[in-house]
Amino acid sequence: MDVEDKMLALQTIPTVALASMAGPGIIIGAYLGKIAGRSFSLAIPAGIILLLPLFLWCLSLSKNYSGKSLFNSFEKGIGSIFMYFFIFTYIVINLILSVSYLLIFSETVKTFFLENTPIWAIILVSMIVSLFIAADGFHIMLRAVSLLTYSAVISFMVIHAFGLPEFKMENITPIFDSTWIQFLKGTLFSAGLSCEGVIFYIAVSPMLPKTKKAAVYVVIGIVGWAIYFFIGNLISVGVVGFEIYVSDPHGALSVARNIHPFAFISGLEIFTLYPFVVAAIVKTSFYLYSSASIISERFGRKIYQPVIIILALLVFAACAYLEDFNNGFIISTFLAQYVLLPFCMITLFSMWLSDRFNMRSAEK
Amino acid sequence: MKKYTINAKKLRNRRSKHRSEDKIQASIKNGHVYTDVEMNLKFISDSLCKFTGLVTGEFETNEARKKVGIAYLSSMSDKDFINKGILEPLLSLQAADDSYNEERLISRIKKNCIRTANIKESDNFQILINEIIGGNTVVFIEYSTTALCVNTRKLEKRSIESPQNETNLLSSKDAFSEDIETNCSLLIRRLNTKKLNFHEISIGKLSRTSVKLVWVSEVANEDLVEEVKRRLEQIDTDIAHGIGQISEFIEDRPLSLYPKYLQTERPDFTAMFLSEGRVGILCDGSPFAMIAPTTFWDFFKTMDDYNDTPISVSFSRIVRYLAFFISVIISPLYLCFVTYNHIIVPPELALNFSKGRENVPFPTIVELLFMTFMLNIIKEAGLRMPGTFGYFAGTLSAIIIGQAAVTAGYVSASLIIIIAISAITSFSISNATLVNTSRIFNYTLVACSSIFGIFGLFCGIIFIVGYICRISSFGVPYIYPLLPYDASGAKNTIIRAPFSILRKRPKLFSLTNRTKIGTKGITHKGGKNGR
Repeated sequence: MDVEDKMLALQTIPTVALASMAGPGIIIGAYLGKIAGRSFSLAIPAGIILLLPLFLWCLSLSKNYSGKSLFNSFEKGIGSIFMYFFIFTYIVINLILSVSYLLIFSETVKTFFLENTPIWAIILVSMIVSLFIAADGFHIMLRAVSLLTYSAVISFMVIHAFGLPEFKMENITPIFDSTWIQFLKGTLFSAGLSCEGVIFYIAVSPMLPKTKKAAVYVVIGIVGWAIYFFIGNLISVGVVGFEIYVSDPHGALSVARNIHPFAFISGLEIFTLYPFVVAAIVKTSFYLYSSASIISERFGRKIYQPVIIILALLVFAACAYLEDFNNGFIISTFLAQYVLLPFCMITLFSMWLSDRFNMRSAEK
Repeated sequence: MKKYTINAKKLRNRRSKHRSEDKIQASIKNGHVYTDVEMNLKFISDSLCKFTGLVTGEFETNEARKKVGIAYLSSMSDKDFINKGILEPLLSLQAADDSYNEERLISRIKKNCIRTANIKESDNFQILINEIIGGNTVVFIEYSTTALCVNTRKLEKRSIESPQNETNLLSSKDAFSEDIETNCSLLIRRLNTKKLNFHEISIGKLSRTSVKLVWVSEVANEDLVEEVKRRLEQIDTDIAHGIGQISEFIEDRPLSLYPKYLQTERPDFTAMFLSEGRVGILCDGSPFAMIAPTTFWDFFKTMDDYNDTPISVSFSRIVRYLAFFISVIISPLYLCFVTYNHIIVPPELALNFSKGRENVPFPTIVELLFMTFMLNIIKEAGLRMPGTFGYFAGTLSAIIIGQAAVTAGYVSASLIIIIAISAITSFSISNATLVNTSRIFNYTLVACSSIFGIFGLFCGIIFIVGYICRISSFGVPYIYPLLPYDASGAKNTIIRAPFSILRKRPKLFSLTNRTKIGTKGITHKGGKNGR
């Protein structure tokens, strides 16, 4: 790893950690309100913080696999059949996540900004830009993602700042008005939504520096996202009220449309649209990159670009076939509730087990 | 048939002419200087017969009774020096014991006779002819098979003038000129150290243009210097027009939309970059220096940034970045408002827009593209026309397009305002190359917005960001030192931190010698404790 690589990796870790978790949750996050009740804005950061050990576990496992993906641990440990099983599942999950997110996102854009444009056209454009960002590999993608994440965060800050004058305290209280079970369910759902970050880190953590500083940066990124997502949701609820916010499937965009500070300013939803577009493109790049990099690692680095194009075409075909917000919403909530967290835990546990086997066989 | 015979005759004549020229070329290649001065001069005259201004002369020294011959190009040589510094002392050459030992005689002439230290010896006609073409004077001595090449080059040149394109308020007022030696002296004046290195390369099989690579040793990355040298030496072209052409030959991706090298006419700016560990390239006949590697942020820097207070400079830089952003984005944003997303404009403003567009017969995209294109034409016309005509063209177009077109109802007034803002903001960018780039991106975003509205605009912006992240200049990422982050350099990108904080050189420019400013003499807290 040369000077440039070290510098790049360290400084981009927080933004990448943040961006990797900003999945469909930023659009359908309000659905959490239906699960967790009024305490949902607290369940959001709680769920994200819950993932910290998984991220750190990922980093600690990657110490022995510098430059290679964590799936290599299976090969010498519990066997290559398991490895291919996990790789296959991993790629399928990534592609499904990609499809669900693009469906949710494109329908949102259509509803608010491009009423007469077909969904497939919006998906196609997003896909092309995502491919452009992911096509040249890890470093260039991370550079672009860092810049875009900063700009998206600033854009979100603008809308939140404008939202503050219309913020009403009575809209968010009573914040603890839900049962423990509801709160727990909400926390787990939030963890499931943000678990996409762990999925991305399974593919890229071996490429990050193996220092304590890197781990600290990961923690900064995760905690930063937890605080930011919490404040964002809190302000949104404070502006429109809990009931209206939770009943709207497009969350923050509807809130932004209702903000009219100083009477003559309107159209602030473009400040929300920008982070949505950035998140959709960045996340699609991540899904495609994770899948393509693991396939090309197995079958040769040269096939990375053809593979990523084929995967993009597959995702586009699936999106064009489903073409509905509801499908995306159902897939996304299903994955967040029942699949992502268990998959990450099982995969990381199997990797750890495999590592143990490796170490014992090496000792013998 | 007759016609054919005539043609064949002509052809034969041409062939024989070519053959004789080839003979001369061959003899030049293999030819050695004769002992007879007359033959040498004849050979030179035959070889350079097509050159106007070739002067040859044969003389006899007063006491030594030796024949000497000189040859030079009057248009490129200093005639006064030739008369006083070469001919006069040669003619009064004293007879001595060494008069029959040519080697010793030549040595005596070099040491005691010709009044310059810049003398070379050669026995090869190829070299001698090249020296004459280069403006030097060749001296033949009777019975000697070695000739002397005396540096008498003197070209008509511009005096040092103030910069035309990079005017600054608080910085020096001198600019590079077309003469490479003068440009070197301007750099030496600012970097008066033995560490300043010049590596000269001749580029162009026909033009043999002198190109100099400049760097500060122990500061610049030696690998980078070697790489630039290698790339320069690989250039295979007939003619080197100027620094822009050379830059294109050596850059990574010539088809890149962003400029990947910085052209500057300011010696102080060049010296500043050299002191950071970058390399410069000077080209004879070009009043610009090329700086490499270059990053995106360098195009927004001016020399005034280093002669003003940090807060004032930071403010100016932010204004420049915003201007660049506005110049690229304002017209596509207007297109989004008018065509797709009316709701995102305050109702009063939307009404104004639609009122202005009431009688316009064209769709907004046609109107916008037409006006943007017209503006580019006016800009080009203003640039290419001589002084007063340029101003005249500008004023005339402003009246016709600004008033008449709106009154006639061809375009809306709001569009004129948007186009004018876009143009004016693009002019506040300090680098001319980047202005053109901003125009290209403007067109791209207009196209994106016309198809997908605000969503298309955002996708276009993300595409451009992705594009910038892919570019590198001589291996250095284009958005360095912000990404990859380098604290020492990052504080001199969007803002300019006080010098007490900018103590280190960016890592990727200078790997070894990184300290630029010491703590001595800095009394305030930032200096002693600052990183």
